[in-house]
Amino acid sequence: MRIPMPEEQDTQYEAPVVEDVDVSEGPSSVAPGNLSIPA
Amino acid sequence: VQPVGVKLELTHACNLRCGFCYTDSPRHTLARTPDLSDDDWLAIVDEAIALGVLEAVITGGEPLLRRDLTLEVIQRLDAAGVGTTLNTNGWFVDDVVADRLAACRGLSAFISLDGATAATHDASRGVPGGWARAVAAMDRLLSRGVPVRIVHVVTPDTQPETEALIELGWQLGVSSVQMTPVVPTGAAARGGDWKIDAPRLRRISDHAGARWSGMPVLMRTGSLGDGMAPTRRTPLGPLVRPSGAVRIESVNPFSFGHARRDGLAGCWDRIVEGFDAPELMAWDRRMGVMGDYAKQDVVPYLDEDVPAERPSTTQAARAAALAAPVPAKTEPREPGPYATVAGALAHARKLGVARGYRRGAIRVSGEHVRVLATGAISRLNASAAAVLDACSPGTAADAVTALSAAYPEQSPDRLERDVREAIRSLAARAILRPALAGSDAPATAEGTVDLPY
Repeated sequence: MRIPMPEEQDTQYEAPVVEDVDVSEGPSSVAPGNLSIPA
Repeated sequence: VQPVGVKLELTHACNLRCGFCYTDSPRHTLARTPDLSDDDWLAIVDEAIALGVLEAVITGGEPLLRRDLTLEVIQRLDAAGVGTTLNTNGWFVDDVVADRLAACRGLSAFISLDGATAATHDASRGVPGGWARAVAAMDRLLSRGVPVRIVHVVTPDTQPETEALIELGWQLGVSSVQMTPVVPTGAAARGGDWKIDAPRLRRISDHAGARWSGMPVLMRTGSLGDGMAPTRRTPLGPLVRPSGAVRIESVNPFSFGHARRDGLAGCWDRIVEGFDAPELMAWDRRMGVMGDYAKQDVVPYLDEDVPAERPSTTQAARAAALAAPVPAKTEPREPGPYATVAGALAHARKLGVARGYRRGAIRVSGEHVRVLATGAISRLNASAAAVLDACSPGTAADAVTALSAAYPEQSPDRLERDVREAIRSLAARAILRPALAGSDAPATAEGTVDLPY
């Protein structure tokens, strides 16, 4: 990871944000066995 | 029924002279009241582990006055997977002690700090120099990744500095702050004005999230069951006094046997069978919520280890306990740089901003970061990524420099506050680790079997 150069970043300052990413709906949820078949 | 936790008061002795000491440790220190031996304590710890406790509180007196014993006890509990809290005034936490504590997987330190300034804290604790030692202890432990909670005893004398003290904790980087009213047992039961503005503290606690991001400010009432299912009526665990007497909890004065003579398991059985005996329940009911302990016929820590089967004390014993004077060790001293709020906050800020960090065990892909130990994935915006970069390795000061270069229009003060918040957030997820931390594993949460008194 590196600090974006001023010319390539949005010059507007945005305070640091660290977000948790919910991965429960990610690719592993459609692995074989997890697929739900519509009735 | 198994106990969930255990509280061990390893010693009566303390180097401080707090007028409100709920365990009356200054009196016991001057009287040289004997403690159990190291061998006795280690046997009790082994028995507690065998009983299946999940959490333990190590306290005193000042437990680190028995340094080798305290470290051995904590190490044994930690090795068994027991989450452990060390209650200490921080005076004896040097680099060696901090290193030993940092090697534990599930330890958090509760350190007493009553004022933002040295003047207020040291007056509250009766000994000059205590503030500086407590703050140094916090910095040593935080630098090694040990979660630290400030325990702030609120009195009429200390409450004017409560908000400044919380800000100081934030600047230092502590995990949480707990505001605690004086419990009128032990030394505090002899007298003194301990009335405080509780609604104000409640407001401070309620609004803390917006002011001090990522650092809970807790208001404890002394309830043993905090965090546990409200339906559970059996006590959560035994408390072992320095004498070996076993009680239910600190605010309950009745002894259910002796941990060595009767065995901890034997005492626990007596607790399970006898905690709701009518005489004891009657005492309990007279307490109300926080309890007017000082006016009861049996006062915790003033009337020592009153047997549960004979729940009363003699007037002569009470008179002797009340008469024992405990002089403060305060002596005139030049006001140091930490005697003012501004000086104290500047010191805390300097320590916090200079603390070194390194990258945790993570995998980075674009704006996403995966923490190997937990599998959790976080998304970082550009400035959060810049903070991570600057602190891998580096300090908050380095991150402020980096952000200032990228965003010169922003004020350094704003950037510093943002950087400190971001570091808190990254460290809480183990994306960043303090440079001196022993492992890449995230620090464990503070205990739930909270036995503050």
